Amino acid sequence: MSGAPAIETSGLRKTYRTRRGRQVAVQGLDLHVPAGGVHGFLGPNGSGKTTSIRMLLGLINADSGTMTIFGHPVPDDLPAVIDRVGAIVESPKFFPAFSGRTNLELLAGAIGAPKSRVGEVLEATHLADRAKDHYAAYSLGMKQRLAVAATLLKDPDLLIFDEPTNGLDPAGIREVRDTMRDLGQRGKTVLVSSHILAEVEQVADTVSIIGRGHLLASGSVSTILGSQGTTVVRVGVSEPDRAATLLAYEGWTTRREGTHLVVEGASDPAAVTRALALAGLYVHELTPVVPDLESVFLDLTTHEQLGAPPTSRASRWGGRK
Amino acid sequence: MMRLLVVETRRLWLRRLTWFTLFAGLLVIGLTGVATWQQAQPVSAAEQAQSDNDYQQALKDWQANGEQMLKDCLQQQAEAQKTDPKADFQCQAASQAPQREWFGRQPPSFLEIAQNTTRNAALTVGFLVFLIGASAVAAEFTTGAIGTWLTFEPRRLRVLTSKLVATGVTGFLASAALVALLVGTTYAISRYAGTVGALPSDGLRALGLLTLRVTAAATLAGLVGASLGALTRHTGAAIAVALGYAVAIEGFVRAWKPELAPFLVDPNLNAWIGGQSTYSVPLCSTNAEGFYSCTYVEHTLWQADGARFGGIVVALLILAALWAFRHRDVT
Repeated sequence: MSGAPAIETSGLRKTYRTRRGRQVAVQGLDLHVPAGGVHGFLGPNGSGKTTSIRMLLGLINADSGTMTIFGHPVPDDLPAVIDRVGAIVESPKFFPAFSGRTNLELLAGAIGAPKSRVGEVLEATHLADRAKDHYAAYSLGMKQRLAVAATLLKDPDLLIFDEPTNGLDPAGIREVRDTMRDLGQRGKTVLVSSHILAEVEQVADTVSIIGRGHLLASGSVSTILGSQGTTVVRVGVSEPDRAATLLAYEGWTTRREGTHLVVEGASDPAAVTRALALAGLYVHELTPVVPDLESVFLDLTTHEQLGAPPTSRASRWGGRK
Repeated sequence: MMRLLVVETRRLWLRRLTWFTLFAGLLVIGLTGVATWQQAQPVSAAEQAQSDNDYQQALKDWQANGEQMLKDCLQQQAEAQKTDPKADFQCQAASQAPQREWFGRQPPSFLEIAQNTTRNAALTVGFLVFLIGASAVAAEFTTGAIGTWLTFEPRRLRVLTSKLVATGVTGFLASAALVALLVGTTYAISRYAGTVGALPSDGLRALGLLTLRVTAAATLAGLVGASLGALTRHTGAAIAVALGYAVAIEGFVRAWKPELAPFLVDPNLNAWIGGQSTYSVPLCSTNAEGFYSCTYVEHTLWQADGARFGGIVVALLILAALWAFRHRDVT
């Protein structure tokens, strides 16, 4: 199974029965997570991220579609690959009346890991000095660290973190981020689901953005950002009103932003400079406007909420990598 | 599988509720011990004098009025036989001379007390073990820890089977310890009071088998608890289902359709523990004169019936729990 993607899903669908009838949580999700590196799994609340992860881990049953982890079809072949997967789904969940150490010892016992491994992961997650405390007495950050410790018991090749920084203070967020980055650099595959985009942007190599249960965009972060970033430039020019009229005549969309013009659709910024210069308007500043992941995300998901067809946007970003 | 079983058994014994439940069992044994202490006390001189006095009084009364009482009884019987020729007032038995052993308290022997207390403790021990099983499984769903567990061992049938077997082992050990402690306490008290009495081998054997039957029933109660815990996913709900069934279904069906007693838990449990249990089914009809009358036909459930019923019920509950755990989403 070498060379297989870490995760691949095709046509994944899940509906829930509610009082108001069947509610679609995931509809035809095609996900491709390459092996190695950090992959952001982004989407607004309720977009189907956690449901998708639960299906991958065999916690809930898919209505239809196929899933593989390192080439193994899941959930049927999950026992063969589960030792390579560590996961925290939503908030960490352990036995509250047991200590952190006891919780880890039970899990280690279930997979046959040596007891010494428990000490190692407690040290690695800076929990050794609080290991004898009841889990119920842990702060949210400590609970999150214990969950990370649990995933490390197996020394997995794939780590799935579902909203790992929920409720953490800035130091905790940074710690989790560093852990993910470190794991990615060590060749592990980290799938991090989040709706906090700034944190994902800092660590992710590739991302998938979903909305309403299906894929909106997928690819490397630079591709997704770059494909939008090259189209918008901010221009400082003498006589901005005349420049705006000229550029509009040439086919660009412009808007005033103070003394500057923002030009959309400028896939070749030099063409803007040239057009203005030919009209005797001299550019004293030209800055490509590079969007952050948040603006891309908002653009995609806002349109999604308005009901625009998602397929056109998926292809706009070049589809899957 | 063995690895999971060891972990689950360890988890069960690490739980506070398991120890709390055992402590509750010790309290019950303590209370039973108080009652045993009172029963096992030898007869005091004052009690002896009082019973002698009661006996003499009754004998005097019989000598004075016994003959007349027999005559009155026979006369009333003859009157009754005019309408019902089969009427039998048992006049000879009712009018016989009082016997000395009818008066005063005779302290029961160890075997008599132990048989009674063990039989009476069956329901309590069974409920405590039920609680251990139900809470151990349901708490995993309530805390969400089952989701974490399944990311380490996704083979659900193995996971639940290990929990059920661990509950069975723990339930057996816990109930065996409680029953053994109960019998031991009873013996210690009887011995201290000097009223142990005879210890024939067949009596000891019967007591030994009774303790085994109670332990087996309590172990099955633990498995029922664990299965209901998996099905309802909440300890409170599992207890509510069990108590609701006992009160509503058993009580209602016994009153409404007594002939369905072979399909109820209580009579079968009594048959298993006590060797047999009886239930009566009314046969009612209206005769030619228009009188509606009922006669009650007694039926017996034997130990084997109780064992068969218990085995089938527990097996069905376990299968239902395994099926549900295999197919239901863990959220």
